[in-house]
Amino acid sequence: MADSGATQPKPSSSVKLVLLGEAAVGKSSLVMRFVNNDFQENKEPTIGAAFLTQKCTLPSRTIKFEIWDTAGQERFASLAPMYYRNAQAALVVYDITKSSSLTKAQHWVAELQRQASPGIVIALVGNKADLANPEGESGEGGGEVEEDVDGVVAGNEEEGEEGSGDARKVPTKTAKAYADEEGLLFFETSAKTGMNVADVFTAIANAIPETSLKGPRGVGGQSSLREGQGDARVNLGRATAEGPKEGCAC
Amino acid sequence: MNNFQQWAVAFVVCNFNVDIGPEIEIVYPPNVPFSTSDLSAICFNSFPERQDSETAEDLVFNFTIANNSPDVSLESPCAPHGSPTNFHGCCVFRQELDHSMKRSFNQRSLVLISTHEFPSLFAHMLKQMTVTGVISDPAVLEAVYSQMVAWPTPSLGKHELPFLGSMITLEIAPHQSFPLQGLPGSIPFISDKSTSIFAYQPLGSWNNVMSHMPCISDLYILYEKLLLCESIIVLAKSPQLCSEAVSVLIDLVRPIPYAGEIKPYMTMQSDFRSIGIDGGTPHPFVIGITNPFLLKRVLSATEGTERSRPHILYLQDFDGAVPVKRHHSLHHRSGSGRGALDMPAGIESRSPSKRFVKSDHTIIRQIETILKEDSPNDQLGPLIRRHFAELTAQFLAPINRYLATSINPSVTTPGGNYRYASFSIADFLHNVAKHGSSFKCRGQGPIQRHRARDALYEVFCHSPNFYSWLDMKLGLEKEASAGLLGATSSLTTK
Repeated sequence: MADSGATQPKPSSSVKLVLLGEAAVGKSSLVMRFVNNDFQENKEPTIGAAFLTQKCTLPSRTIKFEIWDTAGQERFASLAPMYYRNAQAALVVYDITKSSSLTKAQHWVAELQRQASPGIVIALVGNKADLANPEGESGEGGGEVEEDVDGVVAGNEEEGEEGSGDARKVPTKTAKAYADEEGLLFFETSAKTGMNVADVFTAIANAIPETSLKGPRGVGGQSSLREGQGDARVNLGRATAEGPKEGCAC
Repeated sequence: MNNFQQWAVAFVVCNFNVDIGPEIEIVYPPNVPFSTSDLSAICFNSFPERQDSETAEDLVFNFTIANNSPDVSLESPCAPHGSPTNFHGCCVFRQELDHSMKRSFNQRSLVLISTHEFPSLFAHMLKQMTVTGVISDPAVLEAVYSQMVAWPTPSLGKHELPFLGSMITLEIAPHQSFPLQGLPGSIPFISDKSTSIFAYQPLGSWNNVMSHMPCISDLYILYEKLLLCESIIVLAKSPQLCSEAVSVLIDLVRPIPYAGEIKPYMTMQSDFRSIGIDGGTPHPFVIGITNPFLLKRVLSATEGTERSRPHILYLQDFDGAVPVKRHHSLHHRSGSGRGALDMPAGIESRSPSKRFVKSDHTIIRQIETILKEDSPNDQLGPLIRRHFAELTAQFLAPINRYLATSINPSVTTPGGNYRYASFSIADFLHNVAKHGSSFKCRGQGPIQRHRARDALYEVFCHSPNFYSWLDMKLGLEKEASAGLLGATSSLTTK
């Protein structure tokens, strides 16, 4: 007989997660790092959306992410509502070396807040952090408050020679301030090095309200969540940039 | 060969051009080598034949055409194998008011062509693809195509298929004729996020078809015709209604695979050789049509031959409730001012006859009660399907019993399969007379009922349905014993 759904030892629930963001910011690379712990230069652009799953094991339960990695190309923009409909989590990704990509990300956030499920957990993710000069980070963005993205010349992404020059165009502080204001989780990541990638997903897994978690599909609901899981949430502060897969069973 | 091709051949967008008729707008993927005649057949089958300016809602229907595209590669390494000879098309037709057009309408259809007959899956997909946007969005076609390329190949059992932001749970039964596919079981299917579809569940539902029936007791006439592999023509106002009706009719006699030709929707342009008209080999058939002229053509072609006249199921919109029985004297439904039971001009109306099967009045009353309820409800489909599935099981029980006792234990084939003794109708009828049958036949007294029963079995056992059923039964038993053999081979091999 065909497989009929393996039973999980821990309470397990599936979470629909959608990735949105401008073309070539690294959405598929983030997913590939999270799911396969792999990285590929110059990936082909996604058509429509790719679908992947990955489990994330928390101390008290297992979250199965059903990941819809949408295409960033403008011609697929009209399909986005189908992908974020009923999503419990969203990763809105921008490229820290391209200011216009944050503007696009802000548009996605606004659209999600307007049209997606009311309880959706949104994480704002600035990818390609490996292209930033670690020293320059603290100095830059000190004076500006936020919304300084307009007027910055975009388009020379991925041209910064790693290490020497700083290709960063979006100061951490700017994006962080915006994320705080909108109540979003915020991370800067590098799909290339793996920095913070697993942390984003772990943080999302922890931020999903337990009430919105449902049993796994098709499996008679025998693994419904137990009541009173006081330890369900791991300390977000513990999640540091130690590399991918931290906290996740992959 | 990528996995898309294991599921489907192509998406086709057809546009109705007032000056030249239906034309192909998009074929996706674009390199599918359809023959010109097949593209033309796809076009004609994707539009309603009757122009109805009031068609405001999308029409979803399916059709079957002969595969005359030798260059389209067909490869299905594992079950379910697609049809080597037919293309199954499922389509969504949309009519939009557009005063810039000559005819004031924009008429387009999105079609999915496949060698598999998974009408409910394909209808669901096409609805999802067209629900929010336009009927032909190249980005949607591209997105769906690339998603389906990543699907696992179709195989028996359960599949979780990601599709446009949601999951489809698809169950493919070991045989197309498994009964009661898609009916909820006693344990509710826990599924809040995904759509559960059974590959072979009927496209439509009796909930809708029943309200267009001339009368309730006709169900038993139709059932008998289907059981004995006789021909039925469904005439309805829309391709959706006729293809839904064909689909629920075929389902009535499952697990017996109706052995005739099944064409959910045929048009003036269809190739009628497949049903033995215009020079083809005569076959029994169940076809759906919307064009009364076509009805005349098919009927006159079957006249003067040795074929019996096909039964005509004329589905209409009636004013009153569906009556229990036909009124032979009155050709109108009570309360209807629209000449309800009249056949289209020139077609002689004949009261259909039922010869053997006894109607179950308890069920007819239940159907009548449900139909009288004001609110539309979904009890009708399950009630009718369960009842007739049970009837078919009762009908088959004596044959199964006879076959089981006829197994010759001393004869085993190399694979370890048992072999049935040759089937003798006389011997079988003798067996039925001895052991009885719970299947109810017509007749005033027990003698007449036994005669009706014997005659029914005799006709059935000479019909192509008997062979299609036996073929399915033997095939499934062979597969089952092969599976068993595989599991125990380590114990038995030396």
